[in-house]
Amino acid sequence: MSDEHHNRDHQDTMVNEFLEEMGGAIQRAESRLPSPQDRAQTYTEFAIQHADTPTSWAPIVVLAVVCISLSFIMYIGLQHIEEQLSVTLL
Amino acid sequence: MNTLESKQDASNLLDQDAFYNMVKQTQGSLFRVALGITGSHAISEELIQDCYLISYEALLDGRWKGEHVKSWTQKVLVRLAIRRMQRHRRRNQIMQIIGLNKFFEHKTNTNEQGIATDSSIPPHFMVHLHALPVMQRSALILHVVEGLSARQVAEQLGKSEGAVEQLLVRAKKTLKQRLEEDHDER
Repeated sequence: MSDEHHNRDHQDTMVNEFLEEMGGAIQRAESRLPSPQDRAQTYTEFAIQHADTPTSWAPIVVLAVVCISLSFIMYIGLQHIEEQLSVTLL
Repeated sequence: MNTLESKQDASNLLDQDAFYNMVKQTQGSLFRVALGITGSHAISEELIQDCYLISYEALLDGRWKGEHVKSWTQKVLVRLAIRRMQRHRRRNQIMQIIGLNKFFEHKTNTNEQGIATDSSIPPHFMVHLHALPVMQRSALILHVVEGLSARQVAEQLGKSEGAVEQLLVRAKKTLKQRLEEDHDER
């Protein structure tokens, strides 16, 4: 039983040491990065330049209404012309 | 090293100087998390860039309103990193099946096990860390490296606190087994 306890303690210590060293390695990697100001500037400029502006639906809706209205008017007009032509031909 | 207590919120971040200051404050934490999850320096930089772009677009759309900057950016980054690693894993599996994995290794900066070869973290950390599924790895990085509580990790991963505790227990158990095997081999 005490061997088991000892073994478990040993495993816990190994995991804790591993995690601590891993955290340290990640922080060292971060400290080796170039100047934070330059990186922040690059990220900011990229985000502002490449961001899509939100879609405004108003002009799209107006355009769609105009297109549908024109199609309807053309349809009525063509029907009228067709009627006139058939009357003339008869 | 708590990370979620920044009092700055998203209001007025559309101003370029304010956005720059927010980036300067949060980029270190985002790099640590991204590097821990992906293991790759280049992929981490790419993810951070995407994270700030998504955040800026969310500001423009009004989708990002009240949430604190560190919490929001970290959440976006973690989700991007998890999605990236899952996609990467699926692609590696397909490449292995059709026998093209060798051909793509240099393009993705990874070796046969899908472990980054451009990492500034010593390889033995990477080998053990990447033996964990990406969700377990993410939870462990947020908890150990960033010092977040299980509740805070749960918020970042969109899971329940219980689920995160399970992830942490399983991650530590796997690490224990691997480290023990390593120890026995020596």
